[in-house]
Amino acid sequence: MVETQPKTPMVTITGVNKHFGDLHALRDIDLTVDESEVVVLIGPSGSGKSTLCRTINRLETIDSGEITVNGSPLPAEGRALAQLRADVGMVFQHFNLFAHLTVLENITLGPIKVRRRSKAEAAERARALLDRVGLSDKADAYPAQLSGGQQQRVAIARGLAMDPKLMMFDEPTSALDPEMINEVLDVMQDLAHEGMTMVVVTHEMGFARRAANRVVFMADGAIVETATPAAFFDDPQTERAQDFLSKVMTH
Amino acid sequence: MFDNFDLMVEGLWGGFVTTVWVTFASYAIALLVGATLAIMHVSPVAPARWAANAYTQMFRNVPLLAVLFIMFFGLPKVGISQENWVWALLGLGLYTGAFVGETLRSGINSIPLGQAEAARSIGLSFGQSLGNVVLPQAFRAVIAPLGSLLIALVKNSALVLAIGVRELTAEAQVLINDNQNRFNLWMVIIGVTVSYLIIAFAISYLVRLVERRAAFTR
Repeated sequence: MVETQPKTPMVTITGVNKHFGDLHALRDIDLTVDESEVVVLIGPSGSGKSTLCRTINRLETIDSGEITVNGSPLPAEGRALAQLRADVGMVFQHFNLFAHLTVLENITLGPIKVRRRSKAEAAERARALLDRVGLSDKADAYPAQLSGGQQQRVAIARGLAMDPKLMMFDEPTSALDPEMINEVLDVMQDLAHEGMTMVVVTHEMGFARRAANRVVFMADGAIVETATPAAFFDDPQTERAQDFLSKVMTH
Repeated sequence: MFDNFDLMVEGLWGGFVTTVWVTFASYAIALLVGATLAIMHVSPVAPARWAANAYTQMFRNVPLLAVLFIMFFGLPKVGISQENWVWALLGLGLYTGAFVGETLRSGINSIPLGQAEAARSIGLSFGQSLGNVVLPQAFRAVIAPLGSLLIALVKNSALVLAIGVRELTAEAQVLINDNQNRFNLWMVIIGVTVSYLIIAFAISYLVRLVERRAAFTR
């Protein structure tokens, strides 16, 4: 989308390996995500795409290799890591809104506690974000009172409230009823158009085609193919990708 | 049967007041100890988890009466002297704290991992995500068992009579053993029973109130 800007890497992943017991979950992963780039990770279940996404803000640790975000290597633990996570928004498959807080409190918690904003300032910004995701009338509702699609849009607003440099989406529509998928994808697509750097793990091929700058296809913990959406969907180069696409694109 | 009824009520009232404040003061200690233990239990620092475990094993497996005796009779021998009511509060509080810690811990374990992950992902520190996200939900999940611990503590508080604190049961004993035999045995027993029931029912009501106010739908 934004081809004219000079490209600076927002995320670099070099030689990353990760094991879950005997399972080699990530194999020698090399991947760079440039600023304002939208990278979509696709692949069959268990291919390691979610795990890879979660390593970027260290919700998963890695066994070897290096990950840098915005030029600096991922801190191991403590305050520095918290600081980095504040700059990296994350949207989860199961929304993970704070169940005991209202929608507004969900969005303002981070800005107040981490960014040290005043309550009023944080609330004002939160209302603007709720307006943007089309939920301005739900500020005082609790998560359980919202539909899945609404919860996920609140979760996106919660991420955006931190003014992240990068937003990550870990299968954001996989837990949604079909009629709610588009309301979430629309918000994500708007974000992509506005130049947000995004890493998106998804099974929504339509979204990948429309919004991605690059599609990364993973299988068995390794990156098998990287291409523009048009090239990937119309002319996949590897057998694994051809096989995968033939299975998901039949309907 | 109603001879010296006023005098009896006066005596029991004194014990009633002592029981109530000993219970609530030691429960405050227990909550503090329990919250600390729960945080240590889920801490990423292994020695903190070991220490919490050791504490819990020690205080959960030694009879409360033994804890009180060790404090009241044992500690002065090594130079630590306190008034008996201090030992009463500490004994009850430290003992009950072990149970509060386990209760809170199971509450923490009942909160989905995603809540803590989301908290960490917006940049909250370990302490902040515990304090703002995990513990408030964990606490709400275990209000009922915490209430049961409080009621158990009311009854356990009777044991501090053994180190000379004049709470309700101790007071009843005094009335029954009155050397002028001024009080009817059954009246004293009924009076004590009713007193404990009043405390327990009041706590049950209070717990239900707290539970309703803290309720949120998942």
